[in-house]
Order: sequence, then C-alpha cells, then structure tokens
Amino acid sequence: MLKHLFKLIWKKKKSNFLMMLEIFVSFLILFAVWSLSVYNYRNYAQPSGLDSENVWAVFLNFNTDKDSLKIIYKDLVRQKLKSHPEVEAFSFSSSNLPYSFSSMNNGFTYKKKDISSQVMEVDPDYTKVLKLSLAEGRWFTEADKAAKIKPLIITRHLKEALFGNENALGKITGEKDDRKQVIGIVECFKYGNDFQKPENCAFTPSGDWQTDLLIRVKPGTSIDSEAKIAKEISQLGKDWSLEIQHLDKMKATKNRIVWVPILILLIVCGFLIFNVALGLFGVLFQTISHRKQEIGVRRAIGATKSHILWQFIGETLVIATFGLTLGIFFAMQFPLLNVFDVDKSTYLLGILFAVITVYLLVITCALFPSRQASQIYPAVALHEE
Amino acid sequence: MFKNYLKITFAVLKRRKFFTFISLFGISFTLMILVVLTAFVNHLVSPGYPETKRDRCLYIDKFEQIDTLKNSRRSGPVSFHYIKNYVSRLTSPERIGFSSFTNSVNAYVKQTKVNLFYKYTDANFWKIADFEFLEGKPFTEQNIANNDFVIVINDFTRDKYFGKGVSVVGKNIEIDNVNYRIIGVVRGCPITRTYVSSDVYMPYNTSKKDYMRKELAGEYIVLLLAKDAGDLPEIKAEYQSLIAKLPFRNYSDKWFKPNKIHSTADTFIGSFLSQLTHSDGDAKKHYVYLILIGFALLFMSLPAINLINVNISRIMERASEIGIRKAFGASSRTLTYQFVIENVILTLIGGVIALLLSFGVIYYINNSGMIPYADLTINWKVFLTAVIISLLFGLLSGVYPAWRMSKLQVVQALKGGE
Repeated sequence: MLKHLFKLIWKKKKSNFLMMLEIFVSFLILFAVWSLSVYNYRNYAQPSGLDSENVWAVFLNFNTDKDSLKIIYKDLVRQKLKSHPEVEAFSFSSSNLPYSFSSMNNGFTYKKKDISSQVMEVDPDYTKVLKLSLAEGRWFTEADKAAKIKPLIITRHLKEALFGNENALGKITGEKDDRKQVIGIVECFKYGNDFQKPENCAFTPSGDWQTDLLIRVKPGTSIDSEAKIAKEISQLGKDWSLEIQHLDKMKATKNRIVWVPILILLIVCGFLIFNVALGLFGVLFQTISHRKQEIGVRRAIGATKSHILWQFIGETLVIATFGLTLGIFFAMQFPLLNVFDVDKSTYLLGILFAVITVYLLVITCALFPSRQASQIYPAVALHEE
Repeated sequence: MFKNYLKITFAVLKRRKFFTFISLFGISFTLMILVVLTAFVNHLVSPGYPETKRDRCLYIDKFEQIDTLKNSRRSGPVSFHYIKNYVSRLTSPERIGFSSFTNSVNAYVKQTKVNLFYKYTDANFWKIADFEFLEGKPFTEQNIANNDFVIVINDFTRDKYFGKGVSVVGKNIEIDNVNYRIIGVVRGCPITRTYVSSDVYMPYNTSKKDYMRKELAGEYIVLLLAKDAGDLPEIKAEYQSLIAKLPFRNYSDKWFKPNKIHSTADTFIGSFLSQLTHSDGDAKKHYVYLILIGFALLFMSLPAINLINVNISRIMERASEIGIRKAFGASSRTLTYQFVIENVILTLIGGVIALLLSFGVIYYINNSGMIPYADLTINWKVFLTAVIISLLFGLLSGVYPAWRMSKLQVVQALKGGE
C-alpha cells in the first residue's frame, strides 16, 4: 500500500513539487522556531541561583578619582547602612551587578588553559544579599581578604571548563602576584537574565575602588524609607551621585530584551505557518475534487469509504515526507557541525517537534477534503463522466 | 483591453470566495508585516522630532585609544577637554554642540518614585536639535557663563512631578540632591532618538563630575551640524586629519600608553554601524540595505510559494476558458500578460488591505506606550516601499503559474486539465 502511494506521488512529482517545496520551507522555519524555544525553555527551567526579591542595586558615585578618599567614604556608607533597621545585608560590588548592562571579563589560567570569565569583585556579605547557595566548599570571609593568595568562588560551568573532572577545591590559578585559590563552587548563577545558559562566573573579594552596592532590605520596605536612605547616604559627602534600582525590576527589563523578540518571531512564524495551512487546504481541496471519476471507479469496484479517506490522507503524508526528508537533511547539519555551540539534543528535539508539527498540520489540512471525497457516491461520480 | 482584464479578474475573484480569501489573507498579512517593519526602520533612521536636521548631522560618539604594544584598548565617548581644545577647531561644520550619554536618576515625589533620564548639554545643543518649547526657553551661553543652575524638562517630567499641564517655569526641581530652576519645558521625544532623548537637560558645567579633567576620554557625544548634506564628506575628512595630528599625550595612567587613536564622525546610521563593526560605519551603509532587502525577500518567499500553489490550482480550473481563447488565436504571450496582470491586481488589492491593517497596527504601537512618544508614521517613503513590495510580490507569484498555463495544449485545455 505504502509503496504504491510512493509510486503515485513520484509519478506526479512535477505537479506536487511546489507543495513539497512549501513543506520543506515550513519545516525549516518550524525547526528554527522549535530549536529556539527548546533552547530557551531549557535554560529558563534551570534555577537562577540567586534571589532578586527585595534587593536594591545602588549605583553610587563619589565623583572622585582618589582611592584613599573612596576608602573613607565607603566606611561612612557602611556605618550609615548598619544603623538602618530596614537593611538586612549589603555588599559593595564591582559595577557588573547582576542584571546590569556592564560586564567585566578576565582570563583564568590553569595548566596552560586560559579561560575567560565574568568576574565579580564583592564583599563577604554578597552571599547573604543574594542568598547564594554553595554546592561545594565555602564562601570567603573578612579574614580571607588579607591572604596573599586571593580566594575565588567559581560557577560549576567555569570549574568544568578550567579543571574538567578534577576536584577544583584548593586549586590555584594564575601566576605570581595574580594567584587565586578556589575555595567554593556555586551550581549556577544566572546574572544576565532568566534565559541565560550556564556561564563562567567567578567571585573574588573587592578592592577599595568598587562603589556600587547591593542591599537586601526587609520585605515591605516603603518608598518613603527608600527616599530617606537615599537622601541620608548622598548627604554624607559633597558631590555624591546616587541612584537606587530594584533588582527584580532590572531582571524583568533584561528578560524582556530576550523574550520580546522571541515572541515577535513566534507570532510572525505562526502567521506564516497558518498561511501555508490555508494554502495547503485550498490546493488539496482542488486536486481531490478533480479526481471524482477515479474515486467513482474505485468505489464501484469495492473500495470502502475509509479506503478512500486513507488513500488521500496517505498521499498527502507521502508528499509531506518527501519535503521533510530534504528538510531533515539540512537540519541535521546543525547538530553534526555543532553550529552555534548548542547542545545536540536541543537540535534533535527541535527536529522531532518540527516533524510532528508538520505531520499534524498536513493531516488537519487533508482531513476535510479527503472526507468529502470518501462521501462521493460511485453512481453520481460515474454518471458525471 | 485593461478594463476587460479588470472585469475578468473581479468575476474570477467572486467565483471562488474561499480561494480569494486565502490569497488576500496571505498577501495582506505578509505586506502588513513588511510595511510595519519599514515604518519602524524609517522611524529609527529618518529625521524626526526633534532631530529634524539629522540629514545634516554627524556624530562623534566613540573615541578609541589603542596601545598596540600591550594589545589593550579603551573606548568610549569624549571629554569636554577634547571638545574644547580639539573638536572646536573644526572649521567646516556650521555648529558644534555636545551632550552627555543619557543616565538615569531617581526623584521621589509624594510617596512615588520617578525614574528620570538626564543629559548634560551645551547651549549649541538646542540650536542643533529642534525641540518644541511648550513653555520657557533653552539655556544659553550666558547661563553657562553665569554658572546658573537652570534646567529644561520635558512634559512627562512636568506631569509626574508637578501635575498635568501646570505652568512650571521659574519653579525649582531637585535632581540628585541639587536644586535647579526650571527655565523651559519641551515636548518629549521617543527614546529611540538616543542622541537627544532625555527627560531633563542641564548645562554641562553643573555636572558633579570634574568636567575640566585633562583627559581625552569622557562622557560627551559631539553633534556636528553641516550647512548642507553635501558638506558631510568634507567634515568627515577634516575630522580625520584632526585625529591624525592628535598628540599621544598621556594624562593619568601609567599602565596604559596609547599609540594609536581611532575615531570617526559618522552619520546617524553610520555611527550605529561603527559600533557594530568597529570601523568607519558610513562605508558599510549599503550592506545594511542589502541585508534588509534580502531579509524581506526571504520572508516573502514562503507566502509567495504558497500563492503560486494556490494560483496554479485556480488557473487550472479555468483550463477550458484558456483552451477556447487559444483556439481563437490568442498567443501564449497575451495569455501570460493577462494572468500576470490579474495577479498584480490581486496583490494590489491585498496591498490596500495591508496598508489599512498597518495603519491600525501603527496606531496601536504609538498609543500602547510600548515606546513612549513613539511617532511611527506611514509617509510617502513607506508607502512607496509598500507599493514596490506589492508589485514585486505580485510578479513573483504570478509569473510561474501564468507561464505554465500558457504552455497548455489547446486540445488538453479544452478537455479541462493537464
């Protein structure tokens, strides 16, 4: 039966060519859309590793270039913050705060490997502010800051890139003055947005020139207290600039930058596919109604209604299969050539979902015209002839 | 003759309404998306309020110092020191103005927090950007010389801070713990015009940063206004010769000794491309247009294939008509013309629907507040693009079916099909 159908379609390949082409292009679009969706969903499903609720990002600028002044100013700010009951914990940080638009990359070396990673220079209380949990080892303390070899906490991703399967705790990276010892590992830390893939990130004690702040406040802290704290801090010195942003809002902004383009893409592709479905439906309707005599003859010599129905659905599925085979051939190049450095299974799932979608689409479009064909009375069809 | 084709087209369209719907749906949605996209690109790159003179403007927003020995580089906007001592020496521009990159600050008013964007600018900025003043006037050289703490705010800030529509000139406003006297209120502009968009504007000398710092890198973008667009290449060249003569003086850093400087004065699109490609963006403009056209063609290809498919089925339905016309002596070419024209008429109808739909979508985008102060419009440029795209689409999807049909054998056609 199947072989027969293939033969039928192959004989009429010229007139079916456009339909195959259409299915081929639709498949490629669906493949792209599904791969993108699977990729982003998988990343989204991973825990972010940090809690951004009730955390403020404070962009503080002393408007001075002198490091000696900065040390004094920072102490003033620390004392002020400690006196506020609303403040649960705070930490100075380099300007690459989570969900901010700045980044700071540095290379880490180990056994001739040189891996670039995001580096956040922070205070010991950083882990309390963002409620980080460590998978292995420990976080650094005030005492570690004085050590000659600086402590380093890295994400799982960086650990695997740098040390592979070795136990990373206690290992030292860098040379001479720039040596750092790994003392802890965090499972993941999605500092960019919720759709971020696991990335290299490292934490190390801050120097004296980092003036941005993260503050965890008690839940339900009002705007009034925020205004008060902002005013009190900026009045500590002359010419200070200060801006408070809420970390969860910064996260929402960064997330929007990712999902809005994806949403627009999904809408546009959805429209394209819907368009194709309408077209397929129209064309199938036309071709099937052209073959009334053939149906009449087949019915007259004993084919049942369901025979006719399945023949037409089968034919359409075979056309779809031709288009899909070509499409899969191209789509398979992505996992084979490891394009964009994306996990192979993401592409394979993308192909699988795209194939299922195309078949579902084709069956839906073929069902109604095929049903109508199967309803034809042999006498009527043959009479027309 | 043409009138005849028109009549036939409408008769055919009315005959099979479902097919007509499929065709029009595909055409109009495809074209609508393209028209909205064109309107958006047009909004981004064309002159618009308050940058009505963008065609005559060049921007210096990136200044890169390279230390080729250590292979390190620093780039960013330029300093007041650099503008005053070097850029202001340029003779070819009509005006030279500058403004800082947009930053944001909180203002706490009546238990709410307003996030305001602010820019520091010079007095010439107001002569290069044509802001509409709802009240008051911009600050001048005199204000800067007097060290006045004056500020220009937009209507959004006024409504949030003082209340809708009240008169505020002469009142005070506190920005980042500094008191400013309001001197003017402007109508706000969309954030997509990054070089001029902000909520409040203050004179550069009121900045808390030490603006006299003797460094080349800083926080300002320079706007150069030419007498007319033809002068732009000359200004670009003059700026390049200025860069070539720039001394490699190192002001503060003992670790970083630049020996190469890279900076260009670019048009609006060019400056955007310079950021992307790390080179002179104006030289790469045509690539962007090629990419945009390529994208549009790619996007149209699937609906076009779909339309070809539907068209073929429709035309085959008319096989007997074609047979008769051929039998009476119509040439293949006449028939091809007829069907292509029919298809172009169909796409033009789709184009009209698309235009109406686009008006709706653009109205929605402008009023939804997705982009505050968005002023997307369908002007003659967008309209012309839409018409060209429609015709292209019509030809793309009409030629192949028409050709296939005109090749039909008379006898077979009369019998009704292939």
